[in-house]
Amino acid sequence: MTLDWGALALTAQLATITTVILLALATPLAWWLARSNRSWVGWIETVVALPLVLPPTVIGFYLLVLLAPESSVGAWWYATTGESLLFSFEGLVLASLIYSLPFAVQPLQTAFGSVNNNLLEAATTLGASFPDRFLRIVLPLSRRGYLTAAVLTFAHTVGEFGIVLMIGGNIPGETRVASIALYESVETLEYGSAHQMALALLGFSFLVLLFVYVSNRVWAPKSEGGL
Amino acid sequence: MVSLTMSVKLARDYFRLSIDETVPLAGTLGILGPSGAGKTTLLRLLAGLDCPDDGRIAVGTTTWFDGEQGVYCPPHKRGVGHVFQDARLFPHLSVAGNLRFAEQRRGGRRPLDLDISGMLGLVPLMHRMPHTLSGGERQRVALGRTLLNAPEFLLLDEPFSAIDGEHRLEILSLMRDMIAATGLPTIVVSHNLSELSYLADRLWVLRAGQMVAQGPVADVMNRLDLQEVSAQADAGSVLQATVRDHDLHYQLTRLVCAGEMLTVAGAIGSRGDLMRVRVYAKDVALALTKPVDSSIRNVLPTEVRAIVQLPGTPYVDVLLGVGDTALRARITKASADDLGLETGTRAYALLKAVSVETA
Repeated sequence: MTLDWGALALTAQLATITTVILLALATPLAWWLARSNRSWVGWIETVVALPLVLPPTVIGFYLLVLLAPESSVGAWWYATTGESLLFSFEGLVLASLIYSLPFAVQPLQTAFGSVNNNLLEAATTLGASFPDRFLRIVLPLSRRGYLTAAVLTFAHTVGEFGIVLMIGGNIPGETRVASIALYESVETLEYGSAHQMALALLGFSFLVLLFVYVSNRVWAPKSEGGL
Repeated sequence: MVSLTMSVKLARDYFRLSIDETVPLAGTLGILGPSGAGKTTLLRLLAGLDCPDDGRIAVGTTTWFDGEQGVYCPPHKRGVGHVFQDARLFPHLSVAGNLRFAEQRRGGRRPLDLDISGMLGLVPLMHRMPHTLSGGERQRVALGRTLLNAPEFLLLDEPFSAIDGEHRLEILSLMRDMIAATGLPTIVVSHNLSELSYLADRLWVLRAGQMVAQGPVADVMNRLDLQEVSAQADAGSVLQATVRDHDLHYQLTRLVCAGEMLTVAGAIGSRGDLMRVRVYAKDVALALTKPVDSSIRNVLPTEVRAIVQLPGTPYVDVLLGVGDTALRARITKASADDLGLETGTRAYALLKAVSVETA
């Protein structure tokens, strides 16, 4: 009746990988959403936001269908790696990328949208190309957005349960993440383990949110000189 | 000499810009006009921040934009120094960081052989963040940042509008000194004629996207037919003068201007120096006979060349011929009628020494 460290480690691994990949993917998407004024941007925003409102079981169901070895994606993966995406760690990563997408995109989109275009114009006239402007002006001015996106993505990935249950199952060391371990403890009436895991997740969530809110205050934007 | 070709057409809602000019890229060109006249748009087209609908922009043999041939050179490859009215310092970088940003992106251009930070007084500000700077300090940093980028030429967009009156003159003369020291061709945009008369050699006057007048500053300033000039509270004249001698006891300088002697306050320049003298129209009084027992030190014999009523005001602007040059005076219509002023009337222009500015 000890804390399931394996499940916690797997959870941390899943959340870290998901966060890193999602920040990389969300950066161009969020930039485009923040800067484009095409009329169909609203459609893309809607799709990105869907995981916020859909019951996890809906996403879980579609992923179950999509990742099954009979489907094209599942079959391609099986042919390439010799393993099934369902009930695998890789499948969990893929699912996490989808259901945590809005938590990465939306803070970045807000951050990019609030970077004053005048500053980018000034940088351009000083000879800065687009990648240069992005790295030296946009990224530093969006650091709060990145912090929020990273923490929310990480925490939301840690907190997901329904989808993981549907497509990951409960394989120790492969798909048995913290929320699943807690669920199983309760199912098997091991309330001692359940208490430990629940407390661990509660403490983690509290600390994460505390970090976000406190650092957001510390990093509060100074009035942008000259603007 | 390198020339700048600016042949552009641009149409937006309620706004049309159409300019077709080729000018030598030398000295300082001032662009005057009310807001909405297209001054800022013109600068943005030059910098490459906006594109015209059609036309051609070229510097020397380099084409930056050609609508027909589909040529567009992006702003970061133009090497144009653009100082914006709202400084636009990078808020996450210190003053030193802002300056370094510009220095590192100089491209292949040679740095200006000047102590720019020293001349602009930026050294004590190096570790400050932009949000802690005053408006004047920000504008000095912005100018320094642009100059450290070693641009081919300078575009100044209303660079003084964010600075309060007290520091405006300070920044104005600092900017003029920097332009002179760097020798960079400069285009400066303003709705304020007095600012432009400090900086510019030539003026363009824009009205609703069209050029309505252009020429040497002194000529344009003496035009009575331009509302953009007449509507200015500090309309006036710019005259060329030579320093003759100094009265050190009374701290005065005597200048020769259009064959006449002009006394100005302060010991300025040295004998033989050429300088620009600015006289505001509202500071010029007129008399039909030479006044005696008056405190006025400068009494210039003139001849009325033209009189124009300023619409909706009690004033007339009078253009006075002084030798081969001219002086603008703004007096009430009542005074003009009392004196019976008309074209050809001989009158004395009265200028207090204290109201003649040298620049």
